[in-house]
Amino acid sequence: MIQTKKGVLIALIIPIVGWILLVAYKKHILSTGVEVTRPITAYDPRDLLSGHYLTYTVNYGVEDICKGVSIYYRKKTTYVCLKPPKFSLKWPNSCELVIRGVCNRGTFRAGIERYYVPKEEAKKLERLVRSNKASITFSVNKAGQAQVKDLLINGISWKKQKNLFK
Amino acid sequence: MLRLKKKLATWVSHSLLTPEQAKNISLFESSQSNTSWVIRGFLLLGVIVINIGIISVIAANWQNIPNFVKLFNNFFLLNLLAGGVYYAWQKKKPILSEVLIVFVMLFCLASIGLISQIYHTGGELYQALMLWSIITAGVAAISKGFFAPFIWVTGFLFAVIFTSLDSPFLFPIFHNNFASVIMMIPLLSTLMAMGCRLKWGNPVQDNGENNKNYRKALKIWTLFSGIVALCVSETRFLMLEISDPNLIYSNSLIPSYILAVFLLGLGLLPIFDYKKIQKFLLLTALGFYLLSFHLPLLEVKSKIIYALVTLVVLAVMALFLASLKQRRWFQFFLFALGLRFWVLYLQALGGLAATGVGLIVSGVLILSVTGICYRYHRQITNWAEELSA
Repeated sequence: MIQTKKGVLIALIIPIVGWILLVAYKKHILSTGVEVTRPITAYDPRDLLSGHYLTYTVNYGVEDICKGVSIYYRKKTTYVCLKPPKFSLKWPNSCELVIRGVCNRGTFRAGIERYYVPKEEAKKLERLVRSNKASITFSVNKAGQAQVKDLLINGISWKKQKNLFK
Repeated sequence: MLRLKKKLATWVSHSLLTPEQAKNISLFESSQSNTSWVIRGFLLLGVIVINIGIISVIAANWQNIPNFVKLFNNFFLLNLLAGGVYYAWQKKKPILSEVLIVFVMLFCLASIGLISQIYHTGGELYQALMLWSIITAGVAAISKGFFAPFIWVTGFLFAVIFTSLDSPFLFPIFHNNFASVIMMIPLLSTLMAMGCRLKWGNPVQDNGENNKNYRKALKIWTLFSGIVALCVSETRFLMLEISDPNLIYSNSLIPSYILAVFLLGLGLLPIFDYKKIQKFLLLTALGFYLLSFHLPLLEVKSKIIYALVTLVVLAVMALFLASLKQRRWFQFFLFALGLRFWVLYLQALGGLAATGVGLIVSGVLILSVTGICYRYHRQITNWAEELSA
C-alpha cells in the first residue's frame, strides 16, 4: 500500500521514533520523579515475553486501600497519596506525592508490581524476598506515574549482596 | 505442479488441448515464480525462529550485560533492519523485502519486551500489543506479500480484544463483556477492509498489487471471527446464566452499533459496486448477526431460536460469498452450516441420539445430507453464483 520513497521512510522511522520515545519516557520518570521506598510481599515469578520476574504487592501504608470501589468494577483508576497517606477515587488535591493506579479486585496496582530478574537467580531471589524484609525503590513523577528503580533485601540493593546467593 | 500436469494430461486425452498447447502451458507455469513461495515460506520460518530466539535471549535477562549495552544493541539492530528493508525495497527485491519487514515487525515486539524488562514495567499484554500495532502498521503496509499484513492484522485485532477487555478506560463501555467485544471484531475488520478499498482504490484496477493482501488478511479474520462470535453469542448466553443482562447491555453494544452504522454508510458508496441482491444479502446477514446478540435482551430462552438465527447468518453469508465467486469460502460456510444443523439436531433430539434408534436415525441423516450435497453441490454453487448475475 505504501509505494512512495517518502512513505517507506516514514513507515520505517516510526518504530525507531517509538523506541526512542518509550525509552525516553521511562528515563524521564526515573530521573525527574521523587524516589520512594516501600515494603513488598512477593509471589509467583514467571513471564513468557520478558523472562522471569517477581510479582508483589506494595505496602503503601494506607488504610482502606481500594475501599469504595465495587468488586464488579474490575479496573478503576484510583490514587494513593503517599504524603499524607490516603486513598482516593479522585486526584487528591491536598497531597504532596500522588501515585496513580487501578483497583483490581480489591488490590491497588500502579504498574510497579514487577521486578525482572535473571533466569538463573530467579528462584533464589524469590526465596530471599519471601524470607527477608524486601522492599522496592520507585520513582514517582508529578503526574502520578511510577517507575521501579531497585529491589532491596534488608534495605540494601539485591545486586550489591552477592553473598546472599552463596 | 503435479496437479497441473495431471489435469493437462486429462485435457489432452479428451482432446480439449493439443499436446503442443499442454507443453506450452506447462513451460509457462514452470517459468513462473512457483518456487518463490516455498523459499519465502522457509525464509519467513527462519525469521520467526530467530525472533523467538531473540525473545528467549532477552527473557534470560543476562545480568552481566549492562542495560545501556542491551539497549544500544537493540537500537542498533532495529536501525540496521529498517535500513535493510529500505535497501531491499529500493532495489526491488520482493522476497528479501518481505522477510526483513517480518523481521522488523517481530523485532519490535522483542524490543518492547526488552524495554519493559530493563525498566521493570508492570504493563499488561494489551498495552504491549497495542503499542506494537501502532508502531508497525506502516512497516506492514510497505509489504507486497501476504504474511506481514496478516501478522499485523492478527496482532491488531487481538490488541483490540485485550484492550477492550482489560483497559480501565474502556471498562465503563465493555464491562469486561467478552461477547460484546468479540461481536465487534468482525464488524471492525470489515470496516477496515472497506476503508482500505476506499483509501487505496480498487485492487482490480491496479493489478491487485496495492492493498490486496491487507484486505485478504482482514477478510480471513472477518469471516473467522464472525463464526467465533456466533459461537460465543450462543454459548455464552445459553451455557452461562447471566444474572443481570441489563447491566451488561448498558453500554457494551454501542461500539458495535457505531461500527454497523459506518458499515452501512460505506456500503452505499459507489466504489463498492455490489449488486442489489448482494446488498440485500449483506444487510440480512448484518441484521441477523446483530439480532443474535440481542436475543437475551429480548428474553428469548429457546435454544432453537438462537440456532435458527445463526443458521440464517451462515446461510446468507454463504450465498453472499458464492455471489462473489468465492468458492472456497462458500464451501467453508456451507460446511459450518451443516455442522450447525447437526448440533441443532443433537440439541433438539439429544436424548434420542443417545439411543440405538437415535444413532441409526443420525447415521441415515448424515448419509442423506452428504448424498444430497454431493449430488447437487454443483447446482447449488452455480445457483448461488448466478444470484448476482
